Amino acid sequence: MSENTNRSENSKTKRKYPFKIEHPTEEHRPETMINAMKDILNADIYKLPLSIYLDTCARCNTCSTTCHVYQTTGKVEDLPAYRSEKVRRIYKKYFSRSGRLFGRLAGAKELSEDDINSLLESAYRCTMCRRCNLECPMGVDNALITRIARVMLSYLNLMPSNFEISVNSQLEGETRNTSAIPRIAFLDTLEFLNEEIEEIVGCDMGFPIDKEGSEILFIAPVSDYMMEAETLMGNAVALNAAGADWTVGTEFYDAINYGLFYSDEKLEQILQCVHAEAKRLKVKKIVVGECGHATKTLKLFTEILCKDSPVEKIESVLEFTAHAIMDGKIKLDPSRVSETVTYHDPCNLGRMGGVLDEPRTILKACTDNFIEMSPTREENYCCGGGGGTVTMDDIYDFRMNVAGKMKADQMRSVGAHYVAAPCANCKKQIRELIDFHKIDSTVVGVHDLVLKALVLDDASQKKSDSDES
Amino acid sequence: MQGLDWLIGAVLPYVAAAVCLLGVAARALQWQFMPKHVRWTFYPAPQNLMDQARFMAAEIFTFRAILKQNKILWIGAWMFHISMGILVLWLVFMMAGAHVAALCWIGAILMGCTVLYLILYRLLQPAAKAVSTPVEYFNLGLFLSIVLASASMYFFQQPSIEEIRQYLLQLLTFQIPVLPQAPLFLLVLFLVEALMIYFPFSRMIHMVSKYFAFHRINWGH
Repeated sequence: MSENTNRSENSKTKRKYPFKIEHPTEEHRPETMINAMKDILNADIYKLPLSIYLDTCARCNTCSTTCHVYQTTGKVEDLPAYRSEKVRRIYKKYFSRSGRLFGRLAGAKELSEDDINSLLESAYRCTMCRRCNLECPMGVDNALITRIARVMLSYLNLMPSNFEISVNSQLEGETRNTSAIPRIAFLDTLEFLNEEIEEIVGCDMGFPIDKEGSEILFIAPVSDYMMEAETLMGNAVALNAAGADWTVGTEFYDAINYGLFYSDEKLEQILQCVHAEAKRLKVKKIVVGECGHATKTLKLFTEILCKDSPVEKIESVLEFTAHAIMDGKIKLDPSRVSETVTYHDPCNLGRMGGVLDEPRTILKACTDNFIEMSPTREENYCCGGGGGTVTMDDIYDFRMNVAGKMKADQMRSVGAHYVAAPCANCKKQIRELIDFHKIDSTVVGVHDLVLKALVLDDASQKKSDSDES
Repeated sequence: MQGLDWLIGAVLPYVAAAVCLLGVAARALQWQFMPKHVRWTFYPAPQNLMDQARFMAAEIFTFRAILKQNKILWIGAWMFHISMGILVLWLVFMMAGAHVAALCWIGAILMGCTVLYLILYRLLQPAAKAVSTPVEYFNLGLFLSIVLASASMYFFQQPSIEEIRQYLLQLLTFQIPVLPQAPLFLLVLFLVEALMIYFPFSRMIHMVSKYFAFHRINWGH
């Protein structure tokens, strides 16, 4: 990453950063970082994991064998345990008895300006895919330690420029979404998608808009409305074909939550916005579009950060569709997708969300030519753009040549026509990898194929027509 | 008994045992009663007790993950832990009056060799060296010092196993203990006591933390 060094425009000291940062704090950096760690250690949500992860790593380096970044570079700086040690040293020095008593002998080290710079670079060379946790004998999750490092760095406003711009737009901007799509443009897009759907399936199976009292709120990453029309149409058609009572909201319509990658405060605020929209529309359930991190954020953090939400259930649209197929509510004709299809497990949906069988159920119903990547399921490699790094254009070389190298090799080796990746971030990264590495594949969403393979019987067509009238 | 003999031979054994047991219990209770954390399940998590037990047994008895990923480390790490098991077994048999010399020999030799192997591994393998802190070497050094002190005692002072057994039984039954004749026994005893006092506060607590890392975090859903 160092070759992509930027200089902060606002910095008096012209400090160098490994990527573009909007408003870095230049003063009292070590003190602020130490206070940040104090806040984090006091937060209930991390107490148990951190007290174990920071104290019990045996330095066996088993994580190095599963980390795609280290496997590509072979540099000690990319060892997950080495990266985590940078956080442990701060913890040992300022928050542990052994560190206070025995200093460096116990692994403690006074936090210097250089340490902060080094931690910043390390924290964004990790894609937080949690593959290192796959074979850790102690159950230590280095991805959570990376997240903690990023949260600490955010106290110094040290986060990628795109995170800050997108989150500000979502929380403080007029449009209330990361892509700054105005409501009127969003409504136009929905209208366009509804017309397209009618043209494709021959009946009205589009997006219900602001239907108060529906059972389900469907919310997707807003970027899908610009980039992934086929996926969204597949989502709408699946929900309608299954007979769901659902709606999209037009006051807050972006499931993206970059807070997951760097800030607990922002994560919670964005989460509250989604739940406020759910409350406004009086829904009982949220179905999240094809997006790994948004699904994980809503599924994992709701129970602890939005305890008062009336929402009873949150699931990925993949879970919804798979269950509808298994219940016989959706019929798919596998002969309609004759090309070979493989599946990329987004880390936030697979290893971290448990959505492993459902996409396979859907894909096997969509085609007879489904082939698994190797390794697959919970062992599948990160696309290389995880942890929000896909939004950082200034580390493009790193994403293509280092973080995404294993994924590119995997895709080339499986040689499938379609790579189904149900995540907005993975799709962007994989699309770029396919171009960069000249791989003969096309990236699609899982529901793109549902749209192709859907069979509507007369009953559902008639029902749809009668609903329309 | 007076002075150091009294301190190391009659007082510290109880202090060490208390610190070790209470320290481990305190840490386990501290983890047990920590506030609800963010759901951080690692999927697919074993669904029932049988699957969890199977996973944990493979992990504890065969070091499954290290065996799969790094056989060079596995040989040292696994056999080192096996050597501890053998020595504990020898101690139990010896206390019960059945001193099986072979167990003691195999355990001690295995422990000495594997500790040296692990120290060399950390010093010579670049990635292992990069992540090793002084604590790793201290922990291994502590075990090595116990093995070396015991070996010195055995070769230079020919201790009586029956004397050691009687001493330990006196401790267990809260009688005034009589130290074995071999002077180096006091050093071995002190090092073991140091290990027991250090154990709950050290990384060796992974024996307990592993339960929480897997059952409460990785499989907590």
